[in-house]
Order: sequence, then C-alpha cells, then structure tokens
Amino acid sequence: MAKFGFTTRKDSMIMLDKADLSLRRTLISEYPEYQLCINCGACSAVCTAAQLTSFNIREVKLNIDRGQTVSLKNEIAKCMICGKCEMICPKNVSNRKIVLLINKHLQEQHG
Amino acid sequence: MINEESKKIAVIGGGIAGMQSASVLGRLGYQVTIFEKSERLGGNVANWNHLFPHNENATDMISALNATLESQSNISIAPSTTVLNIANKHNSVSITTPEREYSFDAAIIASGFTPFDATKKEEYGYGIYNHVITSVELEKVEKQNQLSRYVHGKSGKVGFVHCVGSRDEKVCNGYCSKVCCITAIKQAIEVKKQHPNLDVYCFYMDLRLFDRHFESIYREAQEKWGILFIRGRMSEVNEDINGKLIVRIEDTLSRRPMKLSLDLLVLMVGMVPSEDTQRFASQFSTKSEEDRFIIDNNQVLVEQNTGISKGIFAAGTAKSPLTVKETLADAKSVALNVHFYLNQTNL
Repeated sequence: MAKFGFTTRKDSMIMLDKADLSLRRTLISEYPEYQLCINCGACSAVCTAAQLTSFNIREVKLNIDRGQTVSLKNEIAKCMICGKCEMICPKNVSNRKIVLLINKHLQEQHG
Repeated sequence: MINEESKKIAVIGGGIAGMQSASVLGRLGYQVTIFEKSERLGGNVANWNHLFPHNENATDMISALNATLESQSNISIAPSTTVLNIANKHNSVSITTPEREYSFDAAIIASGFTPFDATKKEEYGYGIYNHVITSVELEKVEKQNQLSRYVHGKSGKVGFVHCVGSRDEKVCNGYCSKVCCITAIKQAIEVKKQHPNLDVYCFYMDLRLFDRHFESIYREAQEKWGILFIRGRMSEVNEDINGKLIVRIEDTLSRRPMKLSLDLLVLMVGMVPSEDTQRFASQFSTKSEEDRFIIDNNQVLVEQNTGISKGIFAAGTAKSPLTVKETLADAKSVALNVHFYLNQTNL
C-alpha cells in the first residue's frame, strides 16, 4: 500500500462516557460544597499564583469534573494555599480545602 | 359596584404595587387607604429615569398611576405614615400607626424592596472612589443629564458589574435579583447613545434575559452599540495615581486573569427586602427562609385567593424581586384575590 505520510491524530474530544471521574466523586463525598461552583472566576481573579504562573484553580476543578487529570499534579503544585479565593467566593466554597483534599488524594495515589 | 362601599382595605406601601392594587380595588368600589412611609408615592420606581424594555419614562408611569388614584374619591392616601403593626382580629385586620389604631376588612402588604447597600462589597470601592457609582445613582445622573460629570473627552471606558449583592452568599443574598441583567444592558446602551466614543463593558456571571424583548435588547447592545460582554465576576477595584479605576477579573472564557482601567464603574445593585418587608416577613411567614422576603402561597396548583394570613395579602417586590411589569400584574391579581376573599366572607 502506498504511503503518503498521513497519520491519524489523537482525538481532542473529551469522551465523557469514558472519563475517569473518581477524583470528582471523592471530592464530593468529602466536601459536597465542591459542586456549588458557578464558574464566575472570582477565585482565579484574586489568585496570586494565577498572576505569576499559568495556574487557574477554576480550570483545574473543571478539568477534574471532565476527568482531565493528566497535568493535575503539576498544576496543583502552583497553589500557595493562601485562601484569598475562599474569601471572595460568592458561593462560599473553600478552594483551599479542595486543594488540600486533592493533595491528599495525590499523595495516596502516588506517594 | 353594589354592596362593597362599606368594605375597607388598607394598602401598606405606596410604591407601584400599592398604587396599582389600590387603583384596582378603588375601581371595584372599595374604600382604600394607602399608608406610605415617605412623603410621596412611587417608591423605588420614582427614582428611575427610563424603564426597560421600551424606554418608557418612569415619571410618566407614576403620574399615570397617580391620576387613577386621584380620580377616585374612595381612595385616600396617608403619606409620611409608618405602619407599626398589622394584626388579625376576628374578621378584621387592625393597623397601628404612631397616631392611632385602624380597623379594616383586609390589608395588602406592599412594602417592597430597598437597593442593596453597595458599601458591603468593599472590594468594589463604592464610597471610597468617586467614580464607582450604583445603578440607582446612574438613573439619577441620567435624569439630571449629568453623565459628563463622570466621563468626558473623546474616549474612555465605562464598566457595569452585574450581580452586586445578588447570588452572593458572602452578603447573605443567595438569590438572583432578576432585573439587573437587563437593567445593565439598558443602561449600557443609554451611556453609549450619549457618548458613542466610549467603550462600554458588561461584566457578568450569567446573562438572565428571561422576558419578552430582553434577548433582542441584548442583541441590539452587541450589534448596534458594540457593548462588550466579559464573562467573569470582578474581584477588586483600585484607583491608580491618575484617578483611573483599575479592575481585576478573570476572563473565564479565555481562562486568563485580566486587568483593565475604567473611567466609570457602575454597580448593578440587587434587591433587598425593605426593613418593613423583613419585619412583616418574620411576623407572617410560616416557614423561615433565608432570603427575608415574605413567603406567599406560591405553589402553582393552590387556590388563588388565599393570603399570607386571614385577610392579609402581600403584593409586589415584598415577596421577591420582580420587574415593573410583573409587579403591576401581581398587584392587580392580588387585588382581585382580596375582592374574592371579601365576597367569600360575605356569604
């Protein structure tokens, strides 16, 4: 068969049916308020880490909800756990608590 | 109307809900007294310049309502009168003012709302920076044609912050105030109309444009006036050395924190139950609810002519945030409920 050099690329689509949502479930069971986010972005607007790095806590959480956790460990390491996000949140969600829970989960998974 | 001349109804609150229900009950032949805390009728709407969606003049609307009241001799108005207490007594309702106690056959509580106190959101700098004003103040500024006090020259930027004091548990107002989205768009268009060279931004979390014509006004804002919509909740406002406002927000759609300068920031303040509404809510509402509005029997499939207590009804924004149109419709329907109630007790 003639080879034209074409290859198939990996699909960029989120396959929600096959997504691993176990971390989302763990977070909800330990902290039900996790589900209250309305994605207003106030947390990432006050975030000091977000001004200096590519860190976006809102996006990190959204990615967890979609099972996209490949870069989670690197991303979450950028958080300084200062708690400003928690002060501004209109839904009273504690991102600080969520970050600590994610860290706990990562430690249990990867040591 | 035949037998109803002797029936007396108290309306507590002379805003548009109170005026409308008094007007309807007056036309049905009842003796109606409006108790109004301030010197004039019209409530919050009297502070407004133009009303969405058709830019009607608010003063004209109040005058029209007022004219229907004045044309009816069976409607009396007690201005500058605070109602201290409302209570059921057998088949009557007693109303206590500082001067005396009155007896009525029924009462409508139309004690309405007050705009959210923006100083509670200190991060937005209201009361600290001169160029941060509320949506209520912008209406006043427009009424007096003084927008040039805040913006001048051939360029500049104006921002509107949605949901100030709404959907915000940090100030104990978890509910949506409903009217601010469309009001922000209306005001953004008004500012742009007067000063086409300005850049006008709306900072929103969700755009709730639920009613007829609202979506087309949004479209007009984008298409005709070039209003810029940025999705994110503003986190803080500062002033730079030149007196320009510097605001921070996450542009949630491009997923980046963002900073921009503005010449004027308008805070879309939500609706909070007025002090009297809160007082009556705690007196009459059977269930306690966090939002402090009066709880009506708001299930869809219940008998319509039941009040919140025997002979006591609630109308308008004392029950929840409503648009002007909705308030007038609700007041009319509550007035009819009172009419049905009084005729039932006749039997």
